[in-house]
Amino acid sequence: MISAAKRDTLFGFVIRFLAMTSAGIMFLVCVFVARESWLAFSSGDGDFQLTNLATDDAWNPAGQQFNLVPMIVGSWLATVGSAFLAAPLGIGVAVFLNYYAPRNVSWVVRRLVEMMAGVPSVVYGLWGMSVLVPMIAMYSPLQQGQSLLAGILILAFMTVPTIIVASDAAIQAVPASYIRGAAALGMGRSATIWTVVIPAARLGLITAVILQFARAIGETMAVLMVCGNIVKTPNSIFEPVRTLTANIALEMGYAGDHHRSVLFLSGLVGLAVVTVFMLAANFLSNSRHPST
Amino acid sequence: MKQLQNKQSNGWATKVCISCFSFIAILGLGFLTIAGCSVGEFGGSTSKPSRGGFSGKLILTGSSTIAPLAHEIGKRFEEAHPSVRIDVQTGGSSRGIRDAIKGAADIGMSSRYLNTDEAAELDTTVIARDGVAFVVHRDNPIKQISPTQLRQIYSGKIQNWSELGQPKNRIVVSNRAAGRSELSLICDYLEIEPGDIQADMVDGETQQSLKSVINNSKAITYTSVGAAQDAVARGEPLKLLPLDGVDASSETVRSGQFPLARPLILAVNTKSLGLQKADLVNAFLEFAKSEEVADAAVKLGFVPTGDSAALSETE
Repeated sequence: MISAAKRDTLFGFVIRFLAMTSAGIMFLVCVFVARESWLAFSSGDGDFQLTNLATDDAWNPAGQQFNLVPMIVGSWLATVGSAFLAAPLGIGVAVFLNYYAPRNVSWVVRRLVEMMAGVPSVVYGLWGMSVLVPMIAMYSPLQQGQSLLAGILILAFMTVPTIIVASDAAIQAVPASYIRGAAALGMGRSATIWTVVIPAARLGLITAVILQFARAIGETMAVLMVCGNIVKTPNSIFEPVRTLTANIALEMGYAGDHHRSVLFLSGLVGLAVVTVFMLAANFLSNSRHPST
Repeated sequence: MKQLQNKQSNGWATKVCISCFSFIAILGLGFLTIAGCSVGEFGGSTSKPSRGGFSGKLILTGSSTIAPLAHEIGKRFEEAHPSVRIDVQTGGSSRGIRDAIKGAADIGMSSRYLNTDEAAELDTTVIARDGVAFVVHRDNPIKQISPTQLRQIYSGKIQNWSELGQPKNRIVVSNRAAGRSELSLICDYLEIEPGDIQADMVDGETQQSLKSVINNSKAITYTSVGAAQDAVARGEPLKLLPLDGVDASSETVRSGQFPLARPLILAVNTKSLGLQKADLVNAFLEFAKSEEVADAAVKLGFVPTGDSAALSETE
């Protein structure tokens, strides 16, 4: 018979082991990507520099030109655009679920949202390609549907469930005493939501948007199917864009040695962009968080 | 509660040690895996005799167009001859031909015809043909298009169907991702550089490029003849444009009449092969143009060219 304390120690080991495993795998992935990227500087004609990623004339791997800037801009525009749509929508739905919806309605909506969150991205992509893209083509001045707009809409649809689930949890975590206090002061429902619930849940809501952002910027397949994938900084929302992730997915299968390692490098650049964003967002939300 | 806290503080140091150990162990495992992979790449290049059948290793290098087909053929050949290993590497047709001449590879893969110097050194086998058709929507009234017009469309000089005598609509140009064999084929045909193409979208897979035209009656794309024909047979609203007055179909690709097509060639330097290796190479070449692998070629959008019996089977 193992004593309770021993069992506790054992459990602690197992948990630590699992945590280290996931951290270790993440670390190995980074090491691998970095190692493959490193070849970009030694393979090819040998005069490839990190600055080439910004100073080359275009993205033309066959001509040894590797300008990533239009794709970084593309990723960024699609992600920020989708956040502008998905964040108010998602937080709005979460507020509705907690303070307006009848119990059975909110039950049904929550199950639906959970289901939406589990739909594979390629399914959103197929839907976007068959429904959204032809629809945009009817109204676009360019008479084509593959565009930044299609990418933004698809990403917003895909990531709204993430925001709803996370902000729902944040709103539920607001202490009931706050709400009762507001009610005791005679505040109405909307005033309570605006001045009590949302400020109290702010940290959780910011986290929800960060999660949305991370999912949107990493999304590949659906974006590849609806964005048109032209490597050019768009002048309007109707013009096609190519994201960093779509570029890797499009070209990796057919890339030669040097081209391949530059694609790995672009993956590393994407990773760096996301990391910087995450750190900034963390810093921002921590610094604004009132201490105790 | 108090006991729990005590235990935690007592065992803390050991736990940290063990955590570190497990972390290092995982790292070690990871590096072993990486090391294992690279050892595998270099091992087993010597041929060992075995009873019956063939044994040894065949190295194929060259065209990335042929590589997926060669890989599939190799897999089936390995199933039939378990002690044979087929290693397929890409690097372009010219590399394949060079490697075959130098003896660095047993078989070179080339998706272009050999020039006279190269042909003097190598024996060639055409295992399939790769044809690419320009495809528009069925509702597009255009009947004929010339290579010059296509070049102007793909370089952005013609941007409206009205310039080709059609109703006034913008031409929505679909291009293919860098490195795709279709892209290099039309670039050769239209005498245009991949970097000079002005397109409105870049499609990855064949089905995606077809979908772009199915969904947009103003679009034009190019794709493997086999895949486009299949889509038309499924009832998709597509139209394959004839080139130089020749209809785009598997038949015209196979007969060599269709201009936008190329052979998929396996080239062998018979002089440099040893007697035992020559037997294995010949067996592989026979297998590669046999009926048994014709379906693999069809699946990849190629037109098999082996025996005439095989052809009637696949049509």
